[in-house]
Amino acid sequence: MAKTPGRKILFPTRIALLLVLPSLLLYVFFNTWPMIFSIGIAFTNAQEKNLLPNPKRVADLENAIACATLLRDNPDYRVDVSELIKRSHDLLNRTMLYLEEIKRLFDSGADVLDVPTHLYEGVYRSTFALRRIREGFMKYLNCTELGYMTSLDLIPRDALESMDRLMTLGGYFATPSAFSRGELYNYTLVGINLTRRLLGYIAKLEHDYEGYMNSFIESARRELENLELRFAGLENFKRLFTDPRFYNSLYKTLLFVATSVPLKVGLGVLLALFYSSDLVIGRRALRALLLAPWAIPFLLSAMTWKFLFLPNGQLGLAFNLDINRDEWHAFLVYNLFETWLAYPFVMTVTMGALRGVPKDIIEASYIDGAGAFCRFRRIVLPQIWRPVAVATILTTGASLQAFLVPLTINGAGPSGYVCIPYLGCKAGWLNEMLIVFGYNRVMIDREYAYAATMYIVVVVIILVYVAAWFKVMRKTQVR
Amino acid sequence: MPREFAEFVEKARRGEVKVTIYFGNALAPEERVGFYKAIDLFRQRYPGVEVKIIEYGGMGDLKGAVSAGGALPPEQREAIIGSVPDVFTWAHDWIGGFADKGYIIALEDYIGVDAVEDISEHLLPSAMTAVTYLGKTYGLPYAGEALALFVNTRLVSTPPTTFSELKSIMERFYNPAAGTYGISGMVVGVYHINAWVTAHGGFFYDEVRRELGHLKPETSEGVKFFVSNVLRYMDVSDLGHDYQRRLFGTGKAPFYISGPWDVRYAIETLGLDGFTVVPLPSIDGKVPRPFSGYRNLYISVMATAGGKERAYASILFVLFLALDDDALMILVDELGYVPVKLSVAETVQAKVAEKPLYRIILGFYQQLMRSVAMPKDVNMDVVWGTDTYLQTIWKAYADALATGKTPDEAVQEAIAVVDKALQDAYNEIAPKIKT
Repeated sequence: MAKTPGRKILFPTRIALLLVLPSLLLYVFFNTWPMIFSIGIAFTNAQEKNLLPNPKRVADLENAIACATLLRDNPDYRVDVSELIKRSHDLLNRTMLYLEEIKRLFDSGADVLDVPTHLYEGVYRSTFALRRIREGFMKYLNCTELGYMTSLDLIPRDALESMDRLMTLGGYFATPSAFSRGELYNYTLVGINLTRRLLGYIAKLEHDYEGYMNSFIESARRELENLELRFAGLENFKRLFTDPRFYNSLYKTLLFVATSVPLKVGLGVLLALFYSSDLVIGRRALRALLLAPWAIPFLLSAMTWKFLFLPNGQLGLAFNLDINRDEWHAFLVYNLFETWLAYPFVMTVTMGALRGVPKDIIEASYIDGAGAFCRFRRIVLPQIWRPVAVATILTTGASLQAFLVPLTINGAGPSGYVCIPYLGCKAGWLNEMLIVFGYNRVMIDREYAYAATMYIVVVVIILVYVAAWFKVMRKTQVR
Repeated sequence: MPREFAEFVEKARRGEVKVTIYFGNALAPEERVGFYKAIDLFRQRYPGVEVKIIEYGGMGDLKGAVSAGGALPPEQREAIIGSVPDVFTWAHDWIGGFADKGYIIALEDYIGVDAVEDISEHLLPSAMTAVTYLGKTYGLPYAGEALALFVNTRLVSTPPTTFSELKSIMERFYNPAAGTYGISGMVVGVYHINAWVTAHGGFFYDEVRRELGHLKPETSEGVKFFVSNVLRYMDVSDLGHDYQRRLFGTGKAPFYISGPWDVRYAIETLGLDGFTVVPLPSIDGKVPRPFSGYRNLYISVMATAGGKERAYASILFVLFLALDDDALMILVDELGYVPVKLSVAETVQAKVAEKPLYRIILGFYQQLMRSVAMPKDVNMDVVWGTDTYLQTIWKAYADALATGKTPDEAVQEAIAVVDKALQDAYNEIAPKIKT
């Protein structure tokens, strides 16, 4: 067919490039972005409170600050707050009256039930009504009407928190019989102090308008800062390297690698050798059965192992194990469970490698009179070591990242004091391996930055491990 | 109520509007059927509002979804309507963190303070206070939970009314050699021993005073009391939930300290006539006050996306589930929820002789009246870290028993580490507390 002159034809290379380039970009983005994000987080102060705040909340705070600044600096916008002050005074004075009357009765020796119920109810009702102060601020100092869209009232955070504490206290007074006289008396005094503090804020608005606005601006700025991620430098790393729990985690993880990997590999190779022998009748069916740990959903097997090894489980009783109290009992069960989970993998890889061992060499070794051990060491092992080494590398990685096994067996417990020379002691989970350590910092302590720091250290450890293996592999290849 | 909202309610009742809202929950599978019956009632009453349900596997999933919606700029939220809940239910202690981040909306901003005050007249004051944060109301509570005393009435015909009665019965049943124990109950930390600590005037964190109580002698006294008078009669080989409740369900312990979530289990194992629930007994007149949690219906900022009607529909849904007596009675009858609406609690009290389940609900209700709501401020996230230190005390007790010591000797060993554990917990937590 003749070519149409001037018509552009997309050659396969161009098509390939067109497809490959965006794919590569997407790949790089999706693979590296989470990594960059995690690394970045490790150098911040990320916690529950400042991770992903609502952008509208941030805008609300910024607008409220701008609004308060305008009200402070521009006399034209100065509004009459006398009604707001009067209203707030009335509400707070009502609370104060009830609280002072209760205090007076307590001072005169009254017990909890001697105080008339209407006084307790009065505290609850009057503190509940304090939300009207917020309503008043929204009405009289309405920033949205001034063009600063915000859902916040111009009340400093400290004052809002005092109000919140007073309202919580009001709730306690609704069920006075649940408290002792001493406790209620104490709360009465705290309530009086909080009410005075709130009255102080209102007085400031009345007599020192500019000062009041300044205190609001300052408190809103602090709140805004609390919602922002801040660069923390190496602070998290410093903390991590002085945390006794980290060293315990590192120790337990490395120990787990040292104990579980030989168990997994040893059992897997042994079973593969055994079931590769023609002398075993029904070995195909048995081999299939041995792959059961792969087929059973993880959680089901984890629960079964847990219940078997609980102090009152069948195996826990039989071997007198207490995984809830003794860290080493639990550690032993982790090893057994991990071995059970991973041997099918090593066994399958080894069996595949064994098929590649030439039968004639084996037969020749028989003729030469080689024993079973000699045959394995001199003929079989050199043929299968490379796939077994790869399986070992992979399964070592799994042990290094042990997470679900300790978590499901006993929550990486028991808990107790972790003591490291020169660093002191800290309470923690005694079998908290590295990944569990990071997980607990997120799930329990809500410290995202600290957990990310931990994970960076894990990545470094894994990288060192992989590099070491590459070096070993390369050396053996050269040889 | 604002006229605009009232008009919307009328239109929704007559089916003159068509609004869809999404309700997210991480309820246990066995709770869902009963809960959805109450939602069906809402659908019948307000045909103009379609409620679609999003089920989550657990707390983390639900929290993640709400955070994902809340973290988006308002203009991008419309695109994810239906993927993130507009209304969701969880205990009230998420309020502080979510409100500070701006993930949830306050009722006052939509229906006004007057309406909220009217609503408060119908609900338990402690429940209403629990959902109030910085002077605004974030959602409404529909049920309460607190640890109380389950009593196997086949083993103990008259529930104890004082702690000394309870103790003498525990002593009678405690025989580890025969596999019987004085009492059972899950024990992790602060939540589970707060009642004994408060009875002695101690506390771990006081929300009103913004103060840690770890170093108060009363707190230490409370923890020591728990070790020598409660833990002493327990099977400490496994303090987990499943094992401990099985001890009660199989009659190996006459008492069990737990919350309403175990009522179904107790009914299945002992039958409704085989157990009852009463408040934790007083210790020489001192009242143990466990933490209470209130199941709250939160309105997420997602409800504000897609037009004001969706926000109104979400609020209407919350008001209905928290305030409609018929809906609440469904939750009581089907799920054994402990009501916080006064009229429903009165109905349960009035009909206690008719339904054995009501006797149990009433036991929890009485405990709720003698409880202290879990603090909702963000400091509490840090205070829960005390658990790790308290567990060293339980471990000291178990270790001593394992080395052949008698329970009384083991108690002494555990008591010896109480003050150090509390001091260490304080040292760890105090710097992180915002005062």
